[in-house]
Amino acid sequence: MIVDGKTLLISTGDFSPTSLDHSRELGVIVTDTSTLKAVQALFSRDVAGIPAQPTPIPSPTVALPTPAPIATDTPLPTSTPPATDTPVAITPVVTETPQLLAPGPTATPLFADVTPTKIVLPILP
Amino acid sequence: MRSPPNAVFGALQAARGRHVMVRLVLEQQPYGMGSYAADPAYNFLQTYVGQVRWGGQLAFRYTHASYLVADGARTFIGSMSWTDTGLGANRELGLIDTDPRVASAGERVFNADWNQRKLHSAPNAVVVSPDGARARILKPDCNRTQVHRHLHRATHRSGDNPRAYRVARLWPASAGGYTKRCLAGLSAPAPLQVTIVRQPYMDARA
Repeated sequence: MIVDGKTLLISTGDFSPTSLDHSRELGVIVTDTSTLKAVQALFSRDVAGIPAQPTPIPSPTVALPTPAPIATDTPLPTSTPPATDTPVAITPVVTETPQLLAPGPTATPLFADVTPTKIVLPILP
Repeated sequence: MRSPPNAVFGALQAARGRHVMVRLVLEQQPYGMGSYAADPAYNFLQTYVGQVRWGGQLAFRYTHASYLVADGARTFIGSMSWTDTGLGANRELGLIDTDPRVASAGERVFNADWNQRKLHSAPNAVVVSPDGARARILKPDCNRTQVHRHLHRATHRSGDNPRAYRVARLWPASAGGYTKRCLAGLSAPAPLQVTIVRQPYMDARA
């Protein structure tokens, strides 16, 4: 939802009582001008029925550097307790090598061993 | 070539391979479906991707928030489900936010849900349902049944205001009775522009 061309709400929630009052939804309010322009342009094309290629929407803030991957033989760092209302139970990270993404021509495709049940989350009324 | 959800879950799986702690919260009873639909997803993700828990049914009814916080620094929030249709066919909108306040707020919400606890106060950096979203989005006089009346009045006000409101809403052509009633109520005033788009399927709430 874009309000007055100045405020943008991007949210997981529908505009419905169920989403507002009974579901866990998360949204963010954006005032970044470049993001607003990009979304407004996309919306305008949709209203006009113009097929649009995916529009890269700039981040509203400066991108942070991507943390370097942790080497497999490096001890896991101690987790910093997040600011929560309640203590968070941190379960040790599983350390076995993922099988489905193993490199090489014999790699097993993801989902290969899973019963092909299609999961489609519904759009709430 | 991987399907979009396979790419997402494959990336999460690869992250786990780098010893990144991957945690996911799922809805056990998705709207209109039973656990028969959610259980396979739970089992798959638990086996191959990360730690999984069901959403906090004590604090709210449905876990519908599709978001991701990475490394405590980047937050993805989007309208799309992580499905073939949500990621590959529908019109959806999402944002990767690098504001650390948003990441911190997202983690706080996630940790509350992970531990099945209520949020005592919603963080300001994000809009959280059911914890304060209504107050953030709507005016105080809008109760549960007045969500659409509020928009209706907004369109009427544009008649005597030179700064005309332009409210455009896109509904899927396959909308059910609920949406059609909303559409009927909103389409009366002239400034309201309603466009029905058949392709792509409109699911972006932005």
